[in-house]
Amino acid sequence: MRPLPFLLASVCGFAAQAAGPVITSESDIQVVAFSKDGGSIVGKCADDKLRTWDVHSGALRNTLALGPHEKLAALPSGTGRLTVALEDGSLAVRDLDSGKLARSFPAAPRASRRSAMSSDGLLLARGTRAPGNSRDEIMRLWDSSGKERFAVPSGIGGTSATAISPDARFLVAGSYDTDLRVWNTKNGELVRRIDELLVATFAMDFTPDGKFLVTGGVDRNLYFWDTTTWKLARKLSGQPEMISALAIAPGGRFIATGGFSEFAEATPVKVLLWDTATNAVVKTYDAPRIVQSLAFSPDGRTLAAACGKKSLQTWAVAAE
Amino acid sequence: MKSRPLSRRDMLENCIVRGTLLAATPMASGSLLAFWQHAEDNARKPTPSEVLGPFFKKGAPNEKVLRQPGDPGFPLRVAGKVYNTRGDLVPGAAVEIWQADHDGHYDVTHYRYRTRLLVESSGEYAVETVMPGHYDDRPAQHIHYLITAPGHKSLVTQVYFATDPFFEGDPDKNYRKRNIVENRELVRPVSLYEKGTPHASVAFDIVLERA
Repeated sequence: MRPLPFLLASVCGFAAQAAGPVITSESDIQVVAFSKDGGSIVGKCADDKLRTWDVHSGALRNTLALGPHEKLAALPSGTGRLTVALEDGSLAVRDLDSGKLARSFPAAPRASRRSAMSSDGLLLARGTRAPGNSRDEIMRLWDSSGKERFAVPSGIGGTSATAISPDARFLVAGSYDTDLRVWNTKNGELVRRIDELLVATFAMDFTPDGKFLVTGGVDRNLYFWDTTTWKLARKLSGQPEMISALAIAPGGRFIATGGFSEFAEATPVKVLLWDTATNAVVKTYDAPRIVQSLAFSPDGRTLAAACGKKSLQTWAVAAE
Repeated sequence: MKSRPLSRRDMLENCIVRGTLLAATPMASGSLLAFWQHAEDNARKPTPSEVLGPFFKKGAPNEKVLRQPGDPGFPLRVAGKVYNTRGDLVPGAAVEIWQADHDGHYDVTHYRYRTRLLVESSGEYAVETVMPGHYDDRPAQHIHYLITAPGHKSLVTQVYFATDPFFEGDPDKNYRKRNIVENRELVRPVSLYEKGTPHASVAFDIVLERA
C-alpha cells in the first residue's frame, strides 16, 4: 500500500501533510541533506559533526566528525557528497558514506566558504574578496583538473548566494550589493547583470529542467528568471518573512521556501510549499526560528528543514 | 643589520641627490621638498572597510534628516568630510547610509533610516538620525556606509559608538568582543549635549583610496 501522503496527494491534486520522522541531535543542526538513496537524512551540526538518521524511524545511524581544520562548505542533497574547506583554503569533495576524497580544488586568496558545484561535480565556483581594503568580490571558477578557468568582478560586499545550472553552462551569483550576475562557465563572459532587485538574494537554485533560476531573499518574493532570456518570468508573493532558504523538489513542480524574520533569527517563521503548476501555496508549516537549510528527499515525499535547533523539522509531502 | 624602511621623503631626497627628479622638473629642490612635505602632512590613511551586511537596499532617497518628528530614540547627528588619501576633499561622492531604528530593526520594506547623500563642494556630509538600537544577531550599535566616487575605490564601512554598553566602558579593550568590530578606529567618540533637547553627535571623516 502506498504511504498516506501519496494517497492524499492523488486525491487532492497537491501536496498533503502528514507527520515526518522526529529527528533530534545532541548539537544544533545547521544544514540538512538527504542521502543519495533517500534512506537517510544528514545534518551538519554546530559541533562540526555530520549525523545521519534513518528517514523513516529517525534513529541515529552514523556520526562523522569533520577534521580539526575542516569546515563544511556545501552539502548538496541527494548527491552523496560533501565539500569541506581546509585550513589552507583549498576545498575537498568527499564521498558522504565513506568519507573518501573524490576531488580537490586549490586554495584561493580570501575565499568565502560559499561555493557552487555543477551537478556532475566537475566545476566549482567560489567568491573571493579582492586584495587590500576593498570589499569588492571576485568570482572564480575551477574545472575538474583544478585549474582556474576565470576570475571575474562580482559586485561589492560579498556573495550572498550562488548556483550552477544543471547543464553547467551558467554560473549565477547574488551579491550583497543586490545584483545577480550570470556568467558563461566556458569563458567567464557576463551573460546578464540582473540589477532590478532592490535588496539582497539569500537563496537560489535552478529548476531540474534548467528552464528557470529561482531566487528569494530580503523582499520575501520568489522570482523565476527565464534562463533563455534571463528576464523575469514570474514573481510569487506569500512568504511572511524574508526568504532565507529554498529547495526545489526533484520533479520541479513543488518548491519549498523558508523564512528569516527581520526582527531576529530566533523569531518563529514559516516554511511554505508552493505548487508551480498553480503558483499557489499549498501548505504552510511552522519553523521555530530562521530556516538555514531546506532539502527534499530524492522521491520528493519528505521535506526537511534545519533551523539551528537540536531537532530537525521534517514533513511528509506529496510525490509528484 | 636591520635597515629602517625608507619614507617617501627619504626616497625623494635620494632622487634629488641623484638628479633624477631635478632633471624632470623646473622646481627648485627646496620648493619640491616643501611641496612633498605638504603632501606628506596632508596624506591620510584610508578608512578601514567593514562588512556590507545583508540589509543594503538600493534606491534610497537623498535625505539629510532621517529622524521624523515623534520618532523614539536618542537624537544623533553624524557628520564628517570625505577625503582621499592625498587629503583632497572629494566632492561628488555618494554616501549611502543605512541603520537599524532605535529598537534594532531595519526597514527593508521602505526607506526609513536610509539615505544616499551627494557630497557637495565643501566635501561635507551630515545626517540627523537616532542612535541605532541593539539586536541579538549583531549586538553593537552601528551605522552602515557605502561610499562611491568617480576616480576612487568604493568603500564599505561602519561606524560604532564608544558610549555603547557593548564595549563596557572600554572600547580599547573590548572592541574585538564577539568578532563584530574589526577596527578600533571605527569606534568613534560620542559628544553628548544636555541643553535643549538632549542629543548626541559623532564626527566621522571618510578617506577613500584613489582608483
